Amino acid sequence: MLNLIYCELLKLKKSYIMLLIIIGGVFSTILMNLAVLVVSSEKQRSFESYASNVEQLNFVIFYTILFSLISAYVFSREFADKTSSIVYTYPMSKIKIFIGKLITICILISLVYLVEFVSIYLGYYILYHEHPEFTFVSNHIKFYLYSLFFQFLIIPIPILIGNLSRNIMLPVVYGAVGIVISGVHDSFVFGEYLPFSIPFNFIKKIYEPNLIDLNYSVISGICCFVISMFICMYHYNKHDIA
Amino acid sequence: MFGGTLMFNIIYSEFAKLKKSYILIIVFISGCLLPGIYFSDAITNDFSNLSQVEIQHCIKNQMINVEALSFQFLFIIVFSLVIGYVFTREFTDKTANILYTYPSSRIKIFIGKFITVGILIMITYLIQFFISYLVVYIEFRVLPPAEFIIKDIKVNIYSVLLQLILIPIPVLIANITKNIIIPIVYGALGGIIGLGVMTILMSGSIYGQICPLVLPALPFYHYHRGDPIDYIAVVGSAVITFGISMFLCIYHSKNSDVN
Repeated sequence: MLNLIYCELLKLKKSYIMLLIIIGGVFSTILMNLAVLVVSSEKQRSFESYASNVEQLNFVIFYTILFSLISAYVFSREFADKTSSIVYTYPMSKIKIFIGKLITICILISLVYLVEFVSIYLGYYILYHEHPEFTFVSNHIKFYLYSLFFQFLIIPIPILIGNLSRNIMLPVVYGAVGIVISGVHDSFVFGEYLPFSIPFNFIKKIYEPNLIDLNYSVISGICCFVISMFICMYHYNKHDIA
Repeated sequence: MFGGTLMFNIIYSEFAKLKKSYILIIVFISGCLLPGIYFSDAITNDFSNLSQVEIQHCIKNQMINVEALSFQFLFIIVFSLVIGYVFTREFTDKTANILYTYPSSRIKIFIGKFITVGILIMITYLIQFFISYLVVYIEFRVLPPAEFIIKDIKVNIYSVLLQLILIPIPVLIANITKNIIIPIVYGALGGIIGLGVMTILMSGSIYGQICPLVLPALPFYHYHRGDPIDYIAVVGSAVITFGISMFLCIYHSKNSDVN
């Protein structure tokens, strides 16, 4: 299993994925710093307001697309580069290959979270030469871990779309559709159960502990994982190789 | 026009290449997405006890929301995806060798692809325009007044033309990286910047107009919200963006290696 993950990570070496992870972590912080320095009228911000703005940009808009892009790339590159016939000559079952790729995606996503977390603290320190107190930081880390875990739970949906279409485009469109829908989700009947905004709900819980009800997110995250994972496994086991 | 029938053949062959891909589905989905979302919102509400004036107000609100979100946020992502696909599929499918055996110059092939993308963009705008009026008619059984529709047609036409100015940027990125990933990331980052600039524009400041990524949304702000337009900044940023990126595109596509 370790070999499988190592070999997946090696395949990413020559691609732009590593660049994407750094851009994905750092871009919003740089944008925010520029906005504070150039445009904004209020020069002094609390850490809560700074971090929640950066996280809103990242989690609501950017990461929905970025993570579907990453997961679609890891799975569909075998079809695009015509290497899927080589993958299935490994002495492993298809399920193991699938889980290896899934763990690779999880590692990449955790890297993005890590880079973003560090960049927020660095960005705030560069602007104001201060940092928040330790109790807040530990709370922040705790909710980041929850959010990361639920990000893992909703990742099988873009994987399924990528595997069905054997293409990187439809998962990206899924991400874009997800952003737009989660932007207006209050109007839907089951809007609270939509999977797109689950990871951000956990982040919002830090800043507005009384307003956010996480029960919907937990239920829908677990349902999403069970259903889409089942379909993913079934499809990955049964489908034709090339 | 550009070399008579040969140019037409290039564009036709580009469209034939798109037939088996998901691009046409994506164009259709992105045209229907926002009107569809507002439609699903509206059918859960009850409009029977509203007066005619309130209904007209609802309709205008819905049309304006659809256009603001799509011009400033959704379309930049979708169009960079389309552009990335049209320009990089030759490299990923290893058909670049075949492409350059066509009896036409590289510049012509480039312009052919460019026009193909332009046509796809116009199709997206057309779909969104008609679907949004169809949706309004199904919801309320009434259309907005004629002067609003004429204004809306103007907004859409200007917006398409300004959208064409932004095409060369993702084309250049796609041609340099020979990969569909980076143009998509450009689109996502452009969406973030677009939303950021939208908050600046909505607060009444006109400094946001300098940003070229906001160009397709400016007709919307001018006609529907009555914001003044700083023509020098807008024309300047449009000309500079199009000039520089188009020059780099043509230079790169002329001098780059085939594979």
